[in-house]
Amino acid sequence: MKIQVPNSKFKIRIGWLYPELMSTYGDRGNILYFRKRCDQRNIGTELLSIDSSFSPGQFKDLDFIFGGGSQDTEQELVMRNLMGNKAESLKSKVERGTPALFVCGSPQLMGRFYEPGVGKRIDGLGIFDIESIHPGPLVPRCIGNTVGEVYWENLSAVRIERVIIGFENHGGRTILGKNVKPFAKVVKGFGNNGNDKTEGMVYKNAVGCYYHGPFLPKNPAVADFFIQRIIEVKYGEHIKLDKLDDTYENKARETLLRRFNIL
Amino acid sequence: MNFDLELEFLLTMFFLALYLAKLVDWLIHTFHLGSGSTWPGEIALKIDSRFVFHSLAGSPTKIILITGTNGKTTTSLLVVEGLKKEGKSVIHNPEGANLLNGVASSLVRVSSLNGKIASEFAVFELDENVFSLVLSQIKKPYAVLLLNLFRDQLDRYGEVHAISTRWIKALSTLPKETRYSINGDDPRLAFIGKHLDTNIFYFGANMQDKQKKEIPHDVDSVYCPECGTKLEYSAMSYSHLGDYVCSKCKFSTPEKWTESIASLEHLSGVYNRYNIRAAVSLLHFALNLPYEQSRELLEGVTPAFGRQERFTASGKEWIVILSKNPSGFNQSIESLKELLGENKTTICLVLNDRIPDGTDVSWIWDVEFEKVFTYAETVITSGDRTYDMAIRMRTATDELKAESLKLKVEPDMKKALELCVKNHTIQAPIIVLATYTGMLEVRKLLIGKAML
Repeated sequence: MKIQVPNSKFKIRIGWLYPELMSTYGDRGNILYFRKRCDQRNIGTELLSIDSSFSPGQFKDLDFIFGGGSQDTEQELVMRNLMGNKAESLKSKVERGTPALFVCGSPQLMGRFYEPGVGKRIDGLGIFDIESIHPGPLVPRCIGNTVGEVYWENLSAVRIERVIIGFENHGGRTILGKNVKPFAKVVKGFGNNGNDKTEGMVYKNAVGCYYHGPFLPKNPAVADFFIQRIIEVKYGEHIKLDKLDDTYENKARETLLRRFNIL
Repeated sequence: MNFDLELEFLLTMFFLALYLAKLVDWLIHTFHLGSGSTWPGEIALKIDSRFVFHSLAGSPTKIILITGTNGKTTTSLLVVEGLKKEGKSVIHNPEGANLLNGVASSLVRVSSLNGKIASEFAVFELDENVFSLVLSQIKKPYAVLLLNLFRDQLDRYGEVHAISTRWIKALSTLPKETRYSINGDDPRLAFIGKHLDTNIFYFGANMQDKQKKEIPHDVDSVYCPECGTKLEYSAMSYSHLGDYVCSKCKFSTPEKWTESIASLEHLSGVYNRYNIRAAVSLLHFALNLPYEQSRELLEGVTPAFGRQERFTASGKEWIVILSKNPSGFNQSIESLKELLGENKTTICLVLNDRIPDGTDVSWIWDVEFEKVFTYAETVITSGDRTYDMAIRMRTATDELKAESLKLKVEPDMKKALELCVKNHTIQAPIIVLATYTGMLEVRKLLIGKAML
């Protein structure tokens, strides 16, 4: 995608975790859409791949971290490369308040551990106080369109568009520990574990959720929340974002909410 | 139960299944209750769960099985037409009926009343996810073709890796004399071939079709299936297909048949040249003919419905291209270069999310829609998820500012097609790229029938 060179004083450096290994099903949409929304407001963006050639020292340059989902084999490759100094750098970045979004399977890797349906327990990065267990291949996966209601207070933001929509497809079930807060309340779908009606997790400015693929294009308010928060953290300025034409976004959300008889 | 009684019981169930299913088949056809129905097969399998196995026991029919993510229908059609042209009798399952019940239905249709099948050949295209299940009933196929394995409908199928593991397990049970034709350009399929411990015929695209410079976004298997190291590609055709080697464990692309073959007039695009090549390899096995002669048998074959299908409706020329997953969609878009030449045209994108389409439309973000604007005078989006597609298209371009918007959004399919007609003033055909049920709907609206 071509991004025009902006003359704005703001510039966001995005770090994308292993784009080749962790973009299973449309996760790239978040990056394309996020950059588009910045671009339309004259906010500059730069995209860096956090992959095998990325050094631990480079994390300090990042203003926003994004992670998508991966298939099991790829997940193993990612963890092999990430563990150690890189993991520590990423962790301390989030610890110091850098905004981050992890969708699909990546929150599992950012948790304490992930127990796959078959095979050994995988240690996570411990950024989120969560534990994920796959109940085995015989237990059905959590699949389908989803609707949630964001706990914006957990993100210490003003209450804007509360409803989020998306699609989930995960085998693992996640339990939240006491050091994280839920991101949203499940309205339709399974959420973290199918039981406690929680969806995703929030720790400092990092958000994780099982919604996969194009989460931001479906929820422009969340995209804008991140843009604002990133600028706040980086420049110490609270800016008011220009309103964009969200006709298609609103219609897309309406279509899904109508199907669920929510509208 | 003693042996004779048991056998008698099995036979009774088989014939009961066959006759009931035949009756249902007759009713469906007589009263036009829908073509390509899988009902007869479904009923037969309900009564005799091993119906397919029992139908084929002792039959001399040579069975050719075709599976993979993309290209099954076109390749099957080519093989069937090629065999027919040589005067062979062929049965095949109708497109869209590629589960076990579809196979059973086609056997119900051709079985004689004493349960015999006389055709020389049977060509079955099989859904990649039920392939293993079908192999538990078709235990001695004459030939097996593996076309490709891409990400498709993860909500139904699961991950690519899981599918290939199941395939290896199922294929290992087949007799040694089974002939295999495998797309060796796909590392995951070459891996399957190497683990089968039998002679395999590999094919791959000609160098002219391997011009990709960078690894595209819609890949699934660019890491070594043996050891997980990133593969090094010396040439790529599309998605993860190409010539590759693993620098660590030396897993590499097998010896492949890549010599150039003449393409077909009505089947454009690299992906169709793979299909033609695959079909030629099977005809070469089945008829014992040289490649060139096998290829000649395909001359004049027109595309399967909805696959670059051309027709005239509402005074305009149309080309409808089924585009149902990232690699398929990317290939459809790339084939526009060959289909349109230098012309720009009206392009209609139809995105549905019903069960046959896959209920998850996330994949549209893996498609290089940016390229559509190269070929489009006007873009019209439609279907159940029109607005998701509209967001994708608007994100795909910088120029789409409100006033110069070449993007029109119309959820109602009928109105969307009317918009196409109204806006289309140029010579080039209108292009419709649609997911499965969208494609059926478009055909129905334009030419009055969903299926042939």
